[in-house]
Amino acid sequence: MADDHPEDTTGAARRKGEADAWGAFGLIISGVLVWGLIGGLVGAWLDSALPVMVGLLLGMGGGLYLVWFRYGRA
Amino acid sequence: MTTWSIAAEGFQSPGPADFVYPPLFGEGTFFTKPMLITVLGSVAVAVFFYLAARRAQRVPGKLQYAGESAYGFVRNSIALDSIGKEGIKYVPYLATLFFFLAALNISGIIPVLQFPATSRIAFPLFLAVVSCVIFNYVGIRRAHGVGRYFKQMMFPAGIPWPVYILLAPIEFVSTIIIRPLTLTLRLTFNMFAGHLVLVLFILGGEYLVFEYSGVVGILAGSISLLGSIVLTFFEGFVQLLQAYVFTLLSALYIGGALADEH
Amino acid sequence: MAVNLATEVVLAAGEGPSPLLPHLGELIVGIVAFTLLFLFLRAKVFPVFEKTFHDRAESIEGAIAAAQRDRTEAQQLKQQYERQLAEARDEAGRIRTEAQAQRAEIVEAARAEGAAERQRIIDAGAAQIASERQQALSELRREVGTMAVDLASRIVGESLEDDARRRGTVDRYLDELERTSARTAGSAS
Repeated sequence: MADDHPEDTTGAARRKGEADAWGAFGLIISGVLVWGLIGGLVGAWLDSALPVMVGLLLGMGGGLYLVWFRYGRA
Repeated sequence: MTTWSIAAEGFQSPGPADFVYPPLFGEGTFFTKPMLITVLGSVAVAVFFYLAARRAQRVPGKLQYAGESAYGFVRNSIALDSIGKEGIKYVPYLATLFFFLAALNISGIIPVLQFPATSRIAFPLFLAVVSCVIFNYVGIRRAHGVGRYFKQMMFPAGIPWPVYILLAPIEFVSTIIIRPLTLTLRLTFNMFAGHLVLVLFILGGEYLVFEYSGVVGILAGSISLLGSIVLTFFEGFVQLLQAYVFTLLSALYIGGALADEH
Repeated sequence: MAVNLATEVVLAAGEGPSPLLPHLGELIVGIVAFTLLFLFLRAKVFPVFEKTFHDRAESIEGAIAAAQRDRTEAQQLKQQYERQLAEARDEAGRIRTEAQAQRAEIVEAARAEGAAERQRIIDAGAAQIASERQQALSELRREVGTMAVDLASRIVGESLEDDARRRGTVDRYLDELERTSARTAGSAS
């Protein structure tokens, strides 16, 4: 069974890289989305634009931190 | 998109309306062109593989060889490479996914059909949801429990606890919502945009040649039509590539869920 | 948020329903078509391919295994021959050493036997000589006695018996003397 699919380590590594890139992208988008939405809701409640900005920044920061945590550490 | 339209009176630039088909058999009936393409594509895939697998021999004939190579590509280069040895279990799903998507994508450049069914969001959406369900199910089984699975996903070890408040929703949304959403949108918009550009070149060229006329019109229109032929080949490549990317990412998500041990 | 933005952009661009809204009929047809295709391929096609892959791998593995088996067999055979050859060589060497030892033994034995024989012959000769000497001695002793007696009796007998005969003896002796001197003279002239 192992004969008909020789291990292609370079291909596997490249695909891992692709998946990681999409994963990082997804984390940042999620961060901005989730905390932007929460900020937006809070802002609508408080009738203020500030929470949206804070939420977007927090989300982006959190997303970036997760990218670093998941993929950036040696 | 109206800005794309050639500065000429009477030319209707293609837009999202070109993706809406009325029922094939008259008002009130159910069946539309994308559905017909879906059915035809599925039947074509089924027939091709049926003929390839019929009377399979150790030394394959041409058709069997083609079928085996196509299947072997998904099996070895996508499933086993991305998931590992356990990937063999998911080969039937991944292979069906790839060939179904390839058939529905490539229908965009098949004469007469000339519409990628996957540019209609319904098809990528339900396939993305199926992939999402599979990799989450795999992850839950791997973690031995729904609670443990989400705990491992949302609360990775090695982060001070107050930060979890910030990060847990991000992890959750990224895995459960963003992954299937990006799968869906990537495929849909690739097909949508590709088809739109192709239609623009063809309709634009046609308009220039027959309506605008004159030396300039015929010349520019001919160039546009020639360009559409080149674009058709390019689109064929993109369509296969997108089917591959969708299948590969599904496989990688399954592989990730199997390997996760945070 | 991004999705809403995209929707608005697309909606603003043209008329008709949003391409982001899934069409229910397409959803149903897609799910049914995909499910049927999946079930069909899983039941009728993929197992066949897996089986041919497996058979092919197995036949290759079988060929490899057979080749391996042949090679091991040949190696075993070779080892066996080599072992036999070595054994034969050992055997020959052993026999040679043995023969050498045997030869030395035989020579030694022969020499020892020869020496013994010689000794025996010498001893036997010595014994015979000694016994013959003994015999001769005893015979001589007996004969000397008889001769002495004989001589004595003869001397005594003659003097006592007959004057005539003594005379005859003397005469005979004298004659003899005469003849001897005559012959000497005759041969001198």
